[in-house]
Amino acid sequence: MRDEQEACRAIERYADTVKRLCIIHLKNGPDTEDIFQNVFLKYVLSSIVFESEEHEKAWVIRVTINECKDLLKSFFRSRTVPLEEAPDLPAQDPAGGREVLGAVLSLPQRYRDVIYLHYYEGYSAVEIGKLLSKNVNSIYTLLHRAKALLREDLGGDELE
Amino acid sequence: MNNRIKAAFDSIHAEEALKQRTREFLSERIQRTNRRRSPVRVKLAAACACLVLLLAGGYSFFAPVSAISVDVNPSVELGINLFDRVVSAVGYNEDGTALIDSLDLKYQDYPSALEKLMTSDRMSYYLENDGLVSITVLGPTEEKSEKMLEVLSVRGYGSTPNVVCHSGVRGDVEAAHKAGFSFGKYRAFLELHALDSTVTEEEARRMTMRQIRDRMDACSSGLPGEENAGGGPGRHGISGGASCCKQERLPCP
Repeated sequence: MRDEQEACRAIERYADTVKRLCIIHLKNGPDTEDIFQNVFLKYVLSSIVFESEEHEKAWVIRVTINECKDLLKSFFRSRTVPLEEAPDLPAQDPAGGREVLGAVLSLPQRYRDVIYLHYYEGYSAVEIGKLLSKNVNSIYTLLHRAKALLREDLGGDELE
Repeated sequence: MNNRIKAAFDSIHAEEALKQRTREFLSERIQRTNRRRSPVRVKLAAACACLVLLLAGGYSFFAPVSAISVDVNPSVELGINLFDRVVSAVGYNEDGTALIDSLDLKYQDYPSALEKLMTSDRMSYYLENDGLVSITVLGPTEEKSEKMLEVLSVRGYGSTPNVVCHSGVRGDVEAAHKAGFSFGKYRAFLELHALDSTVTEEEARRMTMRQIRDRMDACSSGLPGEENAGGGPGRHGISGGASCCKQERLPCP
């Protein structure tokens, strides 16, 4: 079991990552708090020894995605709210962040993780495959389709 | 687009209040778990204490602290634990061993074990044929010995002429066992030896309690032992006509 100091360090380091994954999956404030507590509690109770920071981050991402999926399975749509009502989205920013975010979040669930992991976290298709326990070719397919949908929605061709 | 996605996600941050609530939640959980989890040392000490208690309990159960010696011709000794249960039964002669082997006395309370012993077929044979039963108790303290004698008295032992009850002497036990006697019979031997120093341990071992008693009576009254000795199972086993006199007295005529 990890101590309080390690827990605080992990919160400081991975809070934003967990929050972003929660936004992708849940779009709901109270559920986000549940996920936060569960993920970091699992971190504290886990006896796994991380080989590196990357290993630790991948573990946090994996656990967060699983927690979100479990929560969705148990409550499904009953506790989700439409995107417009989601309280956690950032306010409109000059670069049109809300629009892009809205476009990403409006993608089918299976595309959102790969888009986030690839474009934001910088993971390769192979790494995403390992992280999500999916075939690499499936990841390539998901990425390709997600890009096409985003291009359609947002326009432009710089999505590479 | 690449940068726009990055920028969009970059704008999402966990609120400080959310982080603080999570920190408080984890802190409370960690402290609760730590409170519940005793340190290894405490656990180890508790385990050792349990082991010691277990061993002490086992020892106090199996260690005899009192004893009862029952001597007729069979000579047996019952070891009794702190809880008044028979934890050992030893025969000090062939008849005694046979008697013990024929009965299951272990772990019974000593009055029940004694009753079982006294009402056994082998013992009944001696009682019905004028055998003298000597019951000698030895407790860890004099009070305990007295209490044991009281229990025997309540049960009716000692009220019949052919059953006598005594309290043993702790100091004699080792010497008795060394000489191959139960401490009850050794006590009788010492009494006889005080009257007649010619009696040897070997002779006394082969004598029944009735024979020892008759010999003591004869010595006390100045008559030869054989004249007082009668028949029956308790009146055989002594050979020769050893004189029976107190050590200080002049030799018997």
